[in-house]
Amino acid sequence: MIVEKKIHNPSEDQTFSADDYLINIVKRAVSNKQNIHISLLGNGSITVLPSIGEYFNNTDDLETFCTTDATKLKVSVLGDRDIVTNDTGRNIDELMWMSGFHASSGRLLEGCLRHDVVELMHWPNLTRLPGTENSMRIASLLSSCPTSITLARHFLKIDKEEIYQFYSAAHCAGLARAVNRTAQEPVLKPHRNQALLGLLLQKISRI
Amino acid sequence: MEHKIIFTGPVGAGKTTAISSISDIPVVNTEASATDDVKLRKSNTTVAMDYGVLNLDDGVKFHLYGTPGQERFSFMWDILTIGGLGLVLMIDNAREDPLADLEFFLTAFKPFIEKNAVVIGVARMDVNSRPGLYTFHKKLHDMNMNVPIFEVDARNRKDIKFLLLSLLATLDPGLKR
Repeated sequence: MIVEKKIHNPSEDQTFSADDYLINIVKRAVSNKQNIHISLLGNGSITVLPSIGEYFNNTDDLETFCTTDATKLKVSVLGDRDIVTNDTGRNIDELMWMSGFHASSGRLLEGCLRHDVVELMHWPNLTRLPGTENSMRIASLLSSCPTSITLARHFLKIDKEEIYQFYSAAHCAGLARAVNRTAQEPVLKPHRNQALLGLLLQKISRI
Repeated sequence: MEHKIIFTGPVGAGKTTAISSISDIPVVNTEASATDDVKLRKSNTTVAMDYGVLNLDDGVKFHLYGTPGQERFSFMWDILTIGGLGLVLMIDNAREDPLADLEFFLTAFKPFIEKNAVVIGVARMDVNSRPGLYTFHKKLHDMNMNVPIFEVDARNRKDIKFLLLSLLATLDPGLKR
């Protein structure tokens, strides 16, 4: 059962702690360089191998792993003899993105602030990772014109939950960093052919 | 004025296939039998260009051009990029040195990229998972670039759609559906 935080001021942002979810289990394994096996009753398992930077998904429902309370996840450390695989796993950063994305559900990760000036150091692999409707736009803005989450949200005209989810996921995956400077409003001129791009966007969205 | 997006990349990376995935018309090819080492990879190769179309609302046509992958046809690259809005670079991860391919094409199209935009699709990662995207990101960082780069399957319409959506987002993040 997830412990809900009482919000005394309705205008405060809802936050969540990495400790309550899969996120910090994987983070600890990576920093301790421990290969681990994580299982959830009735839902398969995940094997995380920081020694090679990969994870192996042995579950049909990774999202449930990411949203389940950490106390329900059974973790065991693997010895070298326990690791026998000829398969190729996926990069652990992708697991971190998914963990942060699903655990967030629109909330902001504790430690991340809406006034953080955020730089996206590289794009997430959005063809293989979950994203929101405007993930591409958020990634484009924060990689080319680092700004605060609040200003980015206003510039892109999107809900705060969406950009909080993106920022939380990116932070967990190590793609985003808070830059220590005053936030500046993004100054990006509309494309010279914006009308044409709009038509193209409508077309491609229907594919 | 012609409105277009150019697909480029080394031989066999999936340019023709990618255009076919989304074009509203059967792709017009200019293929010939491969004669050199290319024939070890595929029987035919593009010698001039591939052509596809996206029919937009209001009767506007958006043109999709695929460049030939072989360097000996590189004179076509400059011709095809004239008036283009953006570049889709397809990389084949099963080739001998995908990072070298990446650097080569980003350098070859550098003047165009600086004025417009580029997105990168890395294909065949299921065949060869190394180098991984992390290594590609490092390479891009060394080249002082931070552009969209995704794992794709050139036959997958949805993957090609994502490439184009990211291209549009790069050209104008303010553009909203």
